Amino acid sequence: MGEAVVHVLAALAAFLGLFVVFARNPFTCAFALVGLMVCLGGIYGLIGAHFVAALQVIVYAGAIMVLFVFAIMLMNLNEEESEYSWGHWRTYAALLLSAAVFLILGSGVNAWLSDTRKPSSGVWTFDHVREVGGNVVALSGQLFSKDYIQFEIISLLLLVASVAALILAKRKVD
Amino acid sequence: MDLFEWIALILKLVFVLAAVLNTVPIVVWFERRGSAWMQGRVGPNRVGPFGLMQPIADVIKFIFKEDFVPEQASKFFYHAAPVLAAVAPLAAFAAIPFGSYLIIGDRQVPLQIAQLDVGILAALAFAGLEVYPVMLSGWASNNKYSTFGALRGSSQMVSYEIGLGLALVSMLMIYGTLDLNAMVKYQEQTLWGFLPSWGVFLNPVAFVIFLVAIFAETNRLPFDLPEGDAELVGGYHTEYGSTKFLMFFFAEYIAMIMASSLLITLFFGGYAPLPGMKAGVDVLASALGFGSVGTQNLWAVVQVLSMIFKVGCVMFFFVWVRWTFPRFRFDQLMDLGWKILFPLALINLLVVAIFIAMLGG
Repeated sequence: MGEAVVHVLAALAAFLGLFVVFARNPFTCAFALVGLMVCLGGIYGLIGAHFVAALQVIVYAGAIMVLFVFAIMLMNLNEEESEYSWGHWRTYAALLLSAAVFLILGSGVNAWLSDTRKPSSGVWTFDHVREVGGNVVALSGQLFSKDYIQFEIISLLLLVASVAALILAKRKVD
Repeated sequence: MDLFEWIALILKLVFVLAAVLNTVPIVVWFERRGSAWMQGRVGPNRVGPFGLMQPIADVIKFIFKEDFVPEQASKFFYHAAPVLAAVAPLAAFAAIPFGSYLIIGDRQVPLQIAQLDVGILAALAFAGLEVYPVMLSGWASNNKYSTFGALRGSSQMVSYEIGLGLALVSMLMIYGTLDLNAMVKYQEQTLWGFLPSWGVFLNPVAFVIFLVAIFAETNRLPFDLPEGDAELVGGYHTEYGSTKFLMFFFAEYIAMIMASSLLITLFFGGYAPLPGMKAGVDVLASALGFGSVGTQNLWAVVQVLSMIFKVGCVMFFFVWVRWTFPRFRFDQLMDLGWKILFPLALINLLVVAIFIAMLGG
């Protein structure tokens, strides 16, 4: 039952992904991307990673895409539709690049699938997660004990990035 | 999952859906009669006793109105918006517990649709999608007033989500869990022997921030600028009529009920009945001659009823505030969100963290 729903969601996500690339209206693209994020959240939830699923929907669908849609609404990008042409060199570069990324990701997934269906050791095995009582406990145990220095460094990095974005966006620093 | 669990799941889904959708007409009736009462008017009192049939008459009126679509509207998104508006808050109910568990045969049936260890995050994820119908309807209607309403609505919801999230983080630090059921268990303890250890007593500042933020998130007065009828005709749903408007109308109340359920689960002990009721239920169960199974089932029913009672109290508060406060100006709204609630929530977070560290977690 769960596996069938995963496949349906994956097919839907792929379909929406095509919409993101080929739709003429930027608003449609953005909303197809929102749908894609929600589908991915559903897949994560069904394979047992509830925490990642919730974060996927909160962060990507609920926050980042809201800003995307907001920008599209404000900037009225409809002129872009007519100007787009397939002959530009950037189109071919993008096609080449996405093919390369697809090959790398696909070979990774293929290797993982042919190896074994689940990790066999460490904290992320299904048995260990069940033992400690859920994803959140397993993750926070890692995050606040073994990996806390990396965690703090990343949060510092994000803070610096947001300050930098603010400075860049401001025309005149007073 | 076997047949028993499937049937239990479907019955729970039907119960929650029926409870939520049937609460809406009662709240609408109360809003109209309550507003009249607060303003010294009579209110709708012609249809049925005390005007109780008024919501049914309203719905029939909506269904028989002309179902129009604006000429320049983007058809797909125009029709998708009201559906999404009702679906997003309804989905959030899946994570909210409305009782502990029933015992049927020799099996426990937890009174919560999805037992997730990330309960609160799942509810927030679906609640966070509520901003899309506002944007969609505003953009798809191709109307200036709708677009203004959508821009106001989305910026307001995004701004207040920050204060809401930070207030929530301070509560998560106190409870030490994301599981809503475990939060209710925590709040069943007592403070100093007499006070229930509800979130509102442990962290009143977070409660105030959360309360203000859910008013902004559900677009209720004094923060109903996205619909501000005096300036924007009807805001993002200006171009909607008939049953499509009815969907938006329902969605607003569903979102209010969902926000109230979250509020009481975080700050008012969730489905835990008022202190002292446990003894009353025990006396009643022994008078009726129930065994331990019967007592637990009776107790679960009392929990569901207390949940409904508490949600009703918060809904009363929603209506009360609506007819007491005037609408904010938009810059005042943004100032409140960014310059008052956001710093206040950060300071509160720090204070709570210091307290927890001093008390040794």
